[in-house]
Amino acid sequence: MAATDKPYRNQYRLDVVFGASCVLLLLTTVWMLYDDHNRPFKPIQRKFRDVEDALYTQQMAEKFPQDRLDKIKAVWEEADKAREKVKKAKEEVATKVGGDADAWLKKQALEKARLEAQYQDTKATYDSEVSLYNILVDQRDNATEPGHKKKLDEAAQAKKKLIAELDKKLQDLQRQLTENERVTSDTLAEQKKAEDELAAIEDNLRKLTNDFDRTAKLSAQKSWKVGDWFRALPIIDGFASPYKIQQVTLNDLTIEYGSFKDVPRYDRCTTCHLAIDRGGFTPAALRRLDLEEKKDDSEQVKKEKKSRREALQERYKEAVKFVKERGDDRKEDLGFKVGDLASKVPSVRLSEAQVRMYSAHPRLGLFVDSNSPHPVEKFGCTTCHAGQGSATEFYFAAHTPDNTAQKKEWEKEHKWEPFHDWEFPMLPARFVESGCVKCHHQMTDLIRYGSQEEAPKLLRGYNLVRENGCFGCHEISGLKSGKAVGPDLRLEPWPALEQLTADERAKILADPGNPPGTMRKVGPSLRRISEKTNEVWARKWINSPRGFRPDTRMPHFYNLSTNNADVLPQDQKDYPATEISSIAHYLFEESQAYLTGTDRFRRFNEDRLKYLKPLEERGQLSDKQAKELIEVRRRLEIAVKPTPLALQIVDGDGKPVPEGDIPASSDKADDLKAGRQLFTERGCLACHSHAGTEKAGADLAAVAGEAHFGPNLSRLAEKVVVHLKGQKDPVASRRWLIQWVLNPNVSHPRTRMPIMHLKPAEAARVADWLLSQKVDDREFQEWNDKDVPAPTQEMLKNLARVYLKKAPAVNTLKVDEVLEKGFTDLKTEAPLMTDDADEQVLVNIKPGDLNDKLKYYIGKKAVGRMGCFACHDIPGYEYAKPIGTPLNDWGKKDPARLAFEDIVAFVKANYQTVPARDDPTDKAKPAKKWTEAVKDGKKPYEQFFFDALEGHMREGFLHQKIEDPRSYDYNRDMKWDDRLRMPQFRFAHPRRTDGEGDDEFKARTDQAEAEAREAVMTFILGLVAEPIHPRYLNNPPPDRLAEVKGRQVLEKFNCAGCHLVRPGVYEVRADQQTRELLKLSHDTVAKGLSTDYGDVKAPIDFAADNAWGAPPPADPDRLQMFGVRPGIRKPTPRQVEQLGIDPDRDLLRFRLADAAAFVDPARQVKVFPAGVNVGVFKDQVVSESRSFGGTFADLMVPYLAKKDLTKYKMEGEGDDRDSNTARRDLPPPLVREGERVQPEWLFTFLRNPTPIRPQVILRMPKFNMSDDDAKALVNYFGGADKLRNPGIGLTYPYLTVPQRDEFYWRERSADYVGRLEKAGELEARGKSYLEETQKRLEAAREAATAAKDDAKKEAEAQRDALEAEVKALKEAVDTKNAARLKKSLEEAQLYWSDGYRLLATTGKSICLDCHRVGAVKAKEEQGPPLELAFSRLRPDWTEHWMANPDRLLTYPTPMPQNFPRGQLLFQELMSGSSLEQVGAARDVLMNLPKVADMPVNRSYRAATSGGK
Amino acid sequence: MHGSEQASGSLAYGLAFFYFLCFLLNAGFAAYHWYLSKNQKQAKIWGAVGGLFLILTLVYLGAGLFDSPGPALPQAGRDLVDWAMGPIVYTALSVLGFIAVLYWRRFFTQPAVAFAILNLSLLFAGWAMTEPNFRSIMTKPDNVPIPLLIYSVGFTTWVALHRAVINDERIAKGEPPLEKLEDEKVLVWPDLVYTELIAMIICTAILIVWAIVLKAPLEAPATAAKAPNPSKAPWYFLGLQEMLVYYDPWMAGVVLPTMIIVGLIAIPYIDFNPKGAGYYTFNQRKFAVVMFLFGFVVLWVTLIVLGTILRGPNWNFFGPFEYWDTHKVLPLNNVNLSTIFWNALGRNAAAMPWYTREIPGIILVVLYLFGLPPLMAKLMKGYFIKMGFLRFFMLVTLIQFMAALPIKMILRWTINLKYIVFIPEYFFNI
Repeated sequence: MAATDKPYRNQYRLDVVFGASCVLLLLTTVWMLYDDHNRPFKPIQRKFRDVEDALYTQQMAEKFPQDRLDKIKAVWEEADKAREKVKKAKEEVATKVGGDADAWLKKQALEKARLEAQYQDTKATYDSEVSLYNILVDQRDNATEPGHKKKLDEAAQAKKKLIAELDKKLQDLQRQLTENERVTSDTLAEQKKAEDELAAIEDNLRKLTNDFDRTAKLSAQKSWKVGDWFRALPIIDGFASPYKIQQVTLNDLTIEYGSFKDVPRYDRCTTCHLAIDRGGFTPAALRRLDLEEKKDDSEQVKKEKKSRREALQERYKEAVKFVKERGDDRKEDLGFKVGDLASKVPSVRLSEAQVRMYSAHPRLGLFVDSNSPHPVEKFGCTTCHAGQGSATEFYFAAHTPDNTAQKKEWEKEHKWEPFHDWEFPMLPARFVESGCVKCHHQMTDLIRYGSQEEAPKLLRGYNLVRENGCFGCHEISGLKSGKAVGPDLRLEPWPALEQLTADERAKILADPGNPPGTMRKVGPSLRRISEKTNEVWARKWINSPRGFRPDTRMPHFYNLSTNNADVLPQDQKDYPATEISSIAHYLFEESQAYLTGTDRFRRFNEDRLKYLKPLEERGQLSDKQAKELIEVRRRLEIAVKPTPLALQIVDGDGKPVPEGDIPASSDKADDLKAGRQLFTERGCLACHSHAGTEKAGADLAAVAGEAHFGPNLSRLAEKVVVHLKGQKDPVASRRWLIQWVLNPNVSHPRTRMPIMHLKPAEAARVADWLLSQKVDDREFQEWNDKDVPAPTQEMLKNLARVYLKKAPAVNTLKVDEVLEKGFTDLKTEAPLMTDDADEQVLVNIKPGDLNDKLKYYIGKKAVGRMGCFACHDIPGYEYAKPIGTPLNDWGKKDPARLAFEDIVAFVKANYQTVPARDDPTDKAKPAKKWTEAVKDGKKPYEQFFFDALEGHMREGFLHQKIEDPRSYDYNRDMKWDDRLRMPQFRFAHPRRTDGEGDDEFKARTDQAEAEAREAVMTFILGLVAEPIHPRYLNNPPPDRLAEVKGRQVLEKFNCAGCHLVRPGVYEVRADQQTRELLKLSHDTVAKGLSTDYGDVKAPIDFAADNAWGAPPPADPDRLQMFGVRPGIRKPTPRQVEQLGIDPDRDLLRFRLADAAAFVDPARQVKVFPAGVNVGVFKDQVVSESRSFGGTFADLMVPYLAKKDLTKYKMEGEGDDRDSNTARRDLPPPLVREGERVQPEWLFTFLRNPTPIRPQVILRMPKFNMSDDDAKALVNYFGGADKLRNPGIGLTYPYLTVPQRDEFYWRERSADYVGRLEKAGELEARGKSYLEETQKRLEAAREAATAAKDDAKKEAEAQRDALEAEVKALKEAVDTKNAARLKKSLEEAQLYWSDGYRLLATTGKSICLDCHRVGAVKAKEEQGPPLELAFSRLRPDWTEHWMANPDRLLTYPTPMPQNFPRGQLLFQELMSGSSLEQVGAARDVLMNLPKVADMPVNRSYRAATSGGK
Repeated sequence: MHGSEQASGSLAYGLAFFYFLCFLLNAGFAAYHWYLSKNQKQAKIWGAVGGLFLILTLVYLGAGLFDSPGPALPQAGRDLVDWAMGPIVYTALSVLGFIAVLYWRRFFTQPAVAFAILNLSLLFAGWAMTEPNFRSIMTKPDNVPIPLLIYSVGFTTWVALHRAVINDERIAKGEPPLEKLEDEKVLVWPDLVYTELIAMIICTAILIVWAIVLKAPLEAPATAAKAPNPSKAPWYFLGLQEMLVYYDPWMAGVVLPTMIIVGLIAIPYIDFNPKGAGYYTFNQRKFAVVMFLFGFVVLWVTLIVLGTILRGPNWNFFGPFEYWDTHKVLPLNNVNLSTIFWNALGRNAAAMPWYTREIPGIILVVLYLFGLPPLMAKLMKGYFIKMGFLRFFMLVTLIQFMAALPIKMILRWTINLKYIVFIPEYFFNI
């Protein structure tokens, strides 16, 4: 068919459709642009512009210097005058030059430019001619043809002449130039002076308005202008938008996506969090931007807003007027157009969510700011906070709400829901500290300034994990393929490193990629449990540890949600009881076997030895067997056969105690009192608590310790009950306790309990008292009555069958046969059984033994299944591996790999969800609903965690796992041994306060537990095992590292239980009134300070030492002070009167541990030295971290005072009540310990402590500490004090004592004699010294005749030396020859003998009243013997100490300030100023043996002979 | 998708809107009958149906006002659908439905019947959205093409069959088919190019709107350490992915797709039937239409729908209203043909060398591939003679490969057959 020309469709209609489709396309394109205009971050950025505008404008109004206007105006006048002056000077210039100054200046400038050009030109010609001349000369000298040579010479001469002319011209031009400049500057000199004056005035003016100007400029910049408005229009903003995505690129902080490694991190969080690094954007400031009254505001708010708005607007008007005046009238250059300022202060209302979004990061000094340790450019945001950094929308950023209220708010505002497509959703605020673990692997490096915990929750969690031994089952390895990825908490190997030979140790330590673990098992060793307690007790204990000891760390394994009798199926109901009995049986049987050397470990190895040895002898060992033989021999060597306590008790040094030294058991009141007294005073309470000491009794005061380092011993008497053949054996029980107190290492070689240096008799008294403390309360009785029923044979068989059926070696068909009579034919019943299989115990059972064997078998299996060996050293489990999931990278575990099972139903069935855990107004209180939920019988459950469980998030799983570890088995049909095994821990153990009801206490306990649980979670969620680029790891410098590492050892051995280790830190806002308050205190204190401390005129003695001097505060408005013993006080009447402060306003008062500087109201820097008490307003304290350690000492002070009020006087009132004499007799504070002692001495002392102060009530115990631990502690004190007190130039771990230098020794005497000469005392001292020496000579002569044998020779030498000395002196004195006298006195080392006199002269109450020197006894011995100072003390500290002991201690020491400044005391003993005397005393102490051995000084030795 | 997403008022509003659209559709249809085709009976029926939808609209609107999701699909209905969507029932119903539609095509292609089916499906689709699991599957931006696919394939198939039925009747009466009535050539401009331009513009506009309204779905970043569960191919490949359940990758991923492409290319060369060019017909091209529709609609489209909606975590089958529980474990106790065969004879297949062990399977496959074509040639003598040797054998081979999938499916479901030939030694399994 032919084609026609007619179109098929109607053309017009097609055009219409085409037109419509074009319109459609246009509309969709507009829609697209509109959509782009409204990309979620754009409205946020637009709004932020308003916020900035409003904030800066408000600030401008606030900063308007209204009160300084007069001053400013005065300066203006000055400036105007100065300007006038400048003008005048200019006019003068005009007259000087005759008319038009400007024209003249122009002319001068023109002339100068002309001359310069001419000069340049000439210089170029000159340089060229010189080079040409040089070439000519060269050519001439090389020319051979004489004619040519001559011609060249002529040319050269001509050039030379030309050069000379040019040179002249140059000089001439130079002169003209100089002249021109001189004329100009001379003419302008006056004008310049005037101008400089004006500049100075303007500078001054700028200072007055600086703050204001800055905000005014910002306000002008941020106000909306036409250009901004245009560019922000929809569609237009699609092109050059002022609104852009902001991002930080972090190439080294990569994100690990599965196998795509090293993907750079892009953090775009600042796209919305626009003010994150701007200090002024505090939430409070943002909230205050709202000035307009709204309908929903309360009347009060409306009123406040109105008054504020009116005041602000008024002020702003003034401010603008001020700016206009300056900009328009005064023509000041303000850096912005006055017209850009808004006409009034804008108001912006922000929702709470917006406030949070627009506010700055808290603590900019620590985070985000480019000067902080964590600048945003380097660390980004998601490194710490997690979340999807590249997202630009709320939802995709994976924000995580912190609580239900926030969640609801987000759901409403942002359509929030859990975001599952990002593996690391943002950490909710409550877990934000988890992020620290990534880089701070040491954990203790999060403690700053000594005791301030920067991540308190995380540190608490870390400590709980450490103390509760989570790492026993769950490996927490800090290494991943050789790279550091987190804190390393791994169990130490068995046997411990210290028990190995040096060779073996070196081998283990040789692999840097896999160093041995360092953590000790947290529970006691059970190897010798049969000497300590009995099986019945053990059964009840395993059944319910907290029933016996409510605050024990041992978790519950039984009666949990999935294995209590109510939920177990019928055939499993007997299992728990059977298992418990079997475990107890196993432990006791193995323990008894261990004591007789027949435990399985030993027997197995002995058997192997027996088998292998003949092979070895016959030379038939295979390589593998040879290796095994070595291993077996070594094992037997390590497993030393113990000596049972029944045979021998050893003392702290490991020596056997003669049986006679142990007194018989006694229940006499005196003996019990002695026991209680020893227990109280000898430091037990530093780690343990005991109900028996909490009530006064037996003439002893009550001491209520709360120490939780060691177990609470209140019910010890019920536990330490040894059974012998089923009967109680009190003697054996007592023996165990005596041994434990004397030397705990016998029963538990890896215990952290130290040797307390008790005598056997004392230990016996302690044991008697402890065993006499019977408890009989209801809770205990309930526990005690609940014995675990003994299993029948049928029950044993049933449970054994469970295990036996799964035993790999056993023929399943023969199981029942085996259960009847054990294995009889291994070949058919268990052909593959290994020699060390657990089932070996069932081989060849004797009739009647079946029950025990089955128990043993089940017990062994159960111990292995539940991992008891993770905390306890259990025979048979020497090399067992941890049973739990490793936690190294739990924090990033894929939630899809967590088995949530039926947990939501479980929680619904057993708990009551409540919206919040604590009362939002008072965080320390449980929420009201929380309390109600407890009453209801169902435990409260925070909605946050319930949501997290429902949403299958890590937090939810972990929380429930800790809360009820077995609950994931809920409604699951599981075999007995397939069930979850993790026991139930309880981390918090609050004590009931007086008058607290049951429900309240329960609610508080629940809340405390919830907090502790969160702390543990914070730590575990932080374990993400992400290898971080080394640049980002916190690698502290050596001193800090020493501090960080040492802190771990301090905590390991609970040093802080007795000693105060670090002072507290107080950060105080210093407002005007605080400054006045401090000034008043300083004035008061200054009066008493003249003894070593500068009044204004004289300098401070040791200004570099931070006990005396402190640098001016970096920020005068914020002071940081180190102090101890804080207390709340009301202001004194004087303070009230002079400063007009509210008499009810609380003051926080503490004793300064370091000097503290402040700026007084007159802007002068003043310094408080250490050792004075300072009070600040409590409400101005910004942060406060309490001092670290010293609990025991604090506990003992009131106790001692009650015991002996005459000896231990209490001083002060209220909080201040304290006894310095008591403190002297208690464990010393270790603040400044690094400054004080010599490192070598400290190391030796830590390894084996010797008595120091004679009068203390307890001795430093000997800890079970390795060399490395001791070294770490020594370095800790060195490092910490070096950092804290840099001015004293501390060195560690090595130390030189310059005072012992030979040169120093000689130099001192020369100086001293020179000093005497200058003072004109030389002759007199020469004479007196001669007399003294003569007396000594006589004595020496007598001694020489009296002495016999070897001593005679020595005495004669002494006599001869003195004779020579006397002779020389006499001559010098007689001839009155000053030079000779000087020389002989120098030779006699007068400095040292006089110095020694200063120390050793009795009756002058300098040293010997309180200190012993060698054999010279003190009047009343109170301090350490002086000769200890030689090896113990550092020279600088010794000097500072003697100069003023009060500065260096945290309590007022009884040691007097013997040489107060400005007083010339003891001049008859040694001449010199107080500081010189101090120096001499220090020098002598540092050389004590040498000085004491000087012939003249020997006479000080008392009647004792032969002493050194 | 944790079953925790509670339906709320916004869902009810959405449904109200959806049913209102259905109401408009029926009202339009009724109006068409009333005014244009003057069929008052039809107009009344569809008016009534529209009224039903209007009532539903009001019901859900009311529910929305009270922030309630409105009447939900009853549990019994969900269970029934879940049962019907089990793999065997689902496939069997698809095939039976396919046969029924073709057999009673005269009935099914009536506009009223087709419209009734459409209405029913819309009614049910809306109601099904009240079920959270189904809703979360269907509202995934990834899966939006699926309803489009279902309705567009349904519609085009209906158009073809509807016109084929009319044409067949006309041809039977000796009249030319409808298409021949207006068999005029048209101009390239404006009839072709102009309309193409318009279509392009409208398509662009639609794509822009689609892109704005449904953002490209972002999922978790790709990682080799963790595969998403279920791991699904793009929707258009889900049919291929479904084949992997029954065949090894070399077969399902290489041989079968190759055969599909080769087969599609070969159609013009195999097709010897000169009839049916340029117009719809069924009777004149019964074999071709049945084969194509079976291959495309039953084997390709339904498998895509199945793969999208009914395959959940671990590639397990889930009813459309069933929660996708990752922990669901289904027994996988499939056995090889050799095991079945030799065990029946009392011999241990595992202990035999592969060449003796797999003899029965190999014989079966050889018979299928080489024994069947001659047999077919004998049975379909007419075709064989018309097509000639080469074309006939190509056709039969292609059909054999197409039939390989349903055969294996049936064998899997009936006798748990794993492989017909199982030679893991050489990675060769069929």
